[in-house]
Amino acid sequence: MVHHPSPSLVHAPDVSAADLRRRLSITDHDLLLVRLYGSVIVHRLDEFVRHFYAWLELQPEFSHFFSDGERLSRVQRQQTEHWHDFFSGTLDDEYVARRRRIGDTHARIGLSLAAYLASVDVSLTILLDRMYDGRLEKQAYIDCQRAVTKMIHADTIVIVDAYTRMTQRTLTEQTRALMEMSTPVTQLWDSILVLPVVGIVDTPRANDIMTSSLRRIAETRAKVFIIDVSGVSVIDTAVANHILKVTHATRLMGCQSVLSGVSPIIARTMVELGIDVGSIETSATLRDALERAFRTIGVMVVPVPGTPTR
Amino acid sequence: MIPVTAAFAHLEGALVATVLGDMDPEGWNGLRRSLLDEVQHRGVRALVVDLSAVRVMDPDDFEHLRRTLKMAAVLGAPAVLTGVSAPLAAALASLGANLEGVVGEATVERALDAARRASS
Repeated sequence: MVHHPSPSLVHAPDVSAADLRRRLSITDHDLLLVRLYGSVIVHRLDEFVRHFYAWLELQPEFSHFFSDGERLSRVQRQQTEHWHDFFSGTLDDEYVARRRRIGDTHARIGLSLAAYLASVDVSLTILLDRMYDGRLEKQAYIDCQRAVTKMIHADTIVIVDAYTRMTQRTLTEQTRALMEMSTPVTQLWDSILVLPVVGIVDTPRANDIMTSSLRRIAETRAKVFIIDVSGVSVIDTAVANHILKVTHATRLMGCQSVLSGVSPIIARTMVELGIDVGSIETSATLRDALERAFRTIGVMVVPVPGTPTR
Repeated sequence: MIPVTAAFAHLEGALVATVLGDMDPEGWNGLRRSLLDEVQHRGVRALVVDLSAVRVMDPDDFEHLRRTLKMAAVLGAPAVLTGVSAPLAAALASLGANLEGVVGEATVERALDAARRASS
């Protein structure tokens, strides 16, 4: 059984242009103001790039992400295109899709959200403050500032959303991989399977042990299934009962289960908890269990004559 | 009139009963009667019950089957199951069905061997 962390985040529909307009109450007039402000600064975007990279060079991430100059100039070119796109004042689903790709890229290269949000703030200051040449009416300038800020916030929502989804996806994949790795039912010999149980066994994991071991038994038609609990320090009633159920289920499928690596503490717990130990075969070490398994399937392991033992 | 619940095949004193599919309690009841009849009248010495066609069983049905197998053993035919799927085994164990004394084998051949060994 795999547990997906908060599936609501993964399955929520992508942010649309209409969502953004509604949430931030962006009107067509706002978009017009963005275009107007764009006409003031868009021909001087090289200035923006200069200011922005003066700031970026001081950031701790800079040397990590821009170690080669070619990459730097490519990113600068993309950034200029980005602002052209921004100041064209169109907020449609294609625009949103382009912004989402930026979020994906940031998440993929491992840039932190903190660094991204700081860069948004710096961009706002550069665009609205440093690059402004004072040519607009005072009120018009204030309105433009408000409209540009709204649009920047729209960008941020899309990028943060994409970023979150990307990290969420990674997390889900990792959880699944971890779950699969945590129950490595391995074929040790023809008809012998072994499952080393390490760490904490909780209910989802116990269920996972049940399903993956039975599946493997069906696939391999194994006759002996060794559950090695050497790596388990404590066992509680629920887990012990679950192991008992696994051994019963395997017997129905023609496979005998052996619990190996039972430490004195676990043995004591099992007896004191009143678990029906008589119905499980147990052994102290994996070696003993393996020896018994070989006997069950009628295999004898003998030393090759003439081989030095040490 | 006993409804048909399983196909019977006799093999040198052994009986292989293939259950035809998912059944209600009435069906399992019918299986018990026809199975025990067969064991008694045909001198069956080893019994194999093939559950390959059974996808679901609740613990009560399984208890019924378990008792049937015990009765067959009393009549001189030790019984072994075969064809228990992984989902069925997992479901029965998780739902707390009493699996004591019930033995399964992965294939009909192995089950026949095991049942014959138990009877000798």
